[in-house]
Amino acid sequence: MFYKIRLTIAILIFITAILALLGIFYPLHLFDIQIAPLIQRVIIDFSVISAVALGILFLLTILFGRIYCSTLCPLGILQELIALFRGKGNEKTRKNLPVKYFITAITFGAMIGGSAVIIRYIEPYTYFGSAVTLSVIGIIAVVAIVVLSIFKNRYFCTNICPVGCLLGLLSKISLLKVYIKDDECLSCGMSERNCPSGCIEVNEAKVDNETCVKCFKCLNLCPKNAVTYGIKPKKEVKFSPKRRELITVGAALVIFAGAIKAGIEIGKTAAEKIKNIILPPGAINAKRMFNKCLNCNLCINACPNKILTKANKDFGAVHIDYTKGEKYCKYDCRECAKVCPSGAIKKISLDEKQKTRIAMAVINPDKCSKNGVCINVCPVHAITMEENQSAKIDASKCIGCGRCKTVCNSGAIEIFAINEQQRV
Amino acid sequence: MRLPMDGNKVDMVELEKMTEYAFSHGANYFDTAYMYVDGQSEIAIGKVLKKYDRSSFILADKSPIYKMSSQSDVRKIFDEQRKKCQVDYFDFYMCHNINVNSFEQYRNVKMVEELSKLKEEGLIKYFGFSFHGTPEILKEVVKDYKWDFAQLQVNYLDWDVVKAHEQYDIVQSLGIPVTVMEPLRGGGLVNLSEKALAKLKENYPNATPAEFGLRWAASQNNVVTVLSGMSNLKQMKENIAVFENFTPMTEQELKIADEMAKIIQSQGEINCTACKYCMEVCPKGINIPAIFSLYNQYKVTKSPFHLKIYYETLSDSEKANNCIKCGLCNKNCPQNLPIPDLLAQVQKEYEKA
Repeated sequence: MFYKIRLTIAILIFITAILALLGIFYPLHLFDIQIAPLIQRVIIDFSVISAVALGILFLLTILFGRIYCSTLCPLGILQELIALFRGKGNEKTRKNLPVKYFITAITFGAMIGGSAVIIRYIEPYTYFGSAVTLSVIGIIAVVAIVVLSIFKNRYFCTNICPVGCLLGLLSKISLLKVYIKDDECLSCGMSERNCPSGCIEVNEAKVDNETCVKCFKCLNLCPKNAVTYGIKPKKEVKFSPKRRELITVGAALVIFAGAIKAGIEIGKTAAEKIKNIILPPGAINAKRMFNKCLNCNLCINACPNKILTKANKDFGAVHIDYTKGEKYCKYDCRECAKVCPSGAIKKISLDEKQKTRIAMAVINPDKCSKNGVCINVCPVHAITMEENQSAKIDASKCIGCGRCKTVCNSGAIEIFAINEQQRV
Repeated sequence: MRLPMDGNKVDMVELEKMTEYAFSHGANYFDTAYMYVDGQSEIAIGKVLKKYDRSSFILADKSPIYKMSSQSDVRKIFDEQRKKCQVDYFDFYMCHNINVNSFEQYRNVKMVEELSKLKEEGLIKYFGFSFHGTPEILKEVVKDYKWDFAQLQVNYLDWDVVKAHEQYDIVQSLGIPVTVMEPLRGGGLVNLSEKALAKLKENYPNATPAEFGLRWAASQNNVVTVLSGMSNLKQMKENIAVFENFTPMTEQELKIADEMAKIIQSQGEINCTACKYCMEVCPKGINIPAIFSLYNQYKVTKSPFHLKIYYETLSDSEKANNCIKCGLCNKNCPQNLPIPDLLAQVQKEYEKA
């Protein structure tokens, strides 16, 4: 029952995610509640809504365990869907390796410090988004994760993913747990062999709720219904951490502190020298965009004019390419700002967007054919022309949308990148 | 260090005469650098000083950062310099020309760490740096390391123009002694404009511009020595005379110097008052007032060397060639300067210089 309900929701969410990334349908702003973007928004804007949403997600995890991984994370669901087409599983109980704690400490540390440049190369949501939008890194990562999952299902989720690791730690203390009723268990191994996370060990009737993603498959499979989801009856367990665990915790904390410091440093210096990149309105400047964009590419297909381009050799985050699509930024549109889950593109109002200069158009009077077509298309009425003179742009009004250039037939207009977006 | 020249070669005969004169009149500080006179300076000074007792003179040398790519290069070059100068140790040794760009390079080769070792080994008595940057960079420089001294460009014109007073205050507050370079601004304060000269003569008919400039620099507190490049014995005699009968400047004299600096500055070709309103709007972040100020100085001093050295202290994005001629600045300029055209003009002349 649990399994079927969850799987249905998961599949719906998965489909929504793909439709959203393709720019077709994005009703629930699903990605607004992805963990990494949420944390980032809390850091950037001290966004109360995001903090509340994050709190709810954490609370849900503390109540129910890592349901996020099995129900909301598109990359997690993708692995599950692939596994559906396989026969009976042959999973082995997996060791809980400490590497993921260090990965988590580094990636979230650096992000909290001020730069998402590390986390965006390992975050599941980014991987999924960039794969759907056909970015090379995303495709390679997702293919690798899926191939890995064929041999060891959800290996990425249990042993690498920083988001999974974070939620796993909360899951350790969750109210509801998957557990095995010792006296009813036949030790048939059905649940153990089919657990995608490799977290069940029937011989000892143990379930590792830290790596368990609460897919509830085991509940369905157990012939005696000995595997249960609920409040686990308490057994006297002494808190006696092993030495190795203490070392791991210590090392992770040290790494975390180091990563915060590194993040502050990167945040200050990264992309400082990049000057010739045009950014979507609300991104402010190259340095900020470079440090905050998670490269999920959600905005790329949301843009009706398709002028946004994914990270490339010019710039390691999303930016505008006026040679693409309709070649200009639509005046009464702020779709990219609306969908951006990470706060990299600020959620500015339409009014603000229309007063934000993202670039600067300049007319070369020697090339101007004086046909005046640019005058009529300029949304901010910045262009004027006097009899027999070349068209002139009032720089103080120009927002750099690039519309004028698209109609100029004499190549007289050039759109220049600016260092920082300005209010006109 | 300027040296007497005979064509492309150092005039050794004149140099020996000058050195002798210097020693006999109490001047014993010699300032050279790897790059001076295409590398001839160190060799010439080495030859000339060889016959004097090592403890009787103070030799200052400077490192060429552009020749160094790793920490081991520092010592390699240092040893080369000792050999060229024919000395076992340097009294003063400097990171040459620290500015926004070179500071990073100096950091990368761990210059100060290596110099500290050389100092421990007794191969350097004092280490410092010569500086051509902004007060902001200077703050970084003095924050990161413990320097024995700083060589600054101090003269009554640069007190304002390159914010020498701020630089001076920064090192002064840390008690770092100052050696002054360019007290006459490469001759710019010797060949004064008519108006500035008139101001001087009107108040002090007997003063010469050179004397006035040198005395001004030497009158600042905390100045260890004032360096002045001299190309012949005559200049040396004049300079030494200033210091033999040295009296610090009076309040009144300092005031006149200040007024002369204002006159020189106001005579620039571009009537920019550095209000920086243009920079508030420039979408490219071009440092327009700094560029104009450099250009104006260049027009007064006619020294392409100074134009270049200071133009290079601007970061790439602050330079004139970034101008897209959008004209946003024009609207904000209280002086109604045609800024984009002027920037293009400066850029053109800079490339020619």
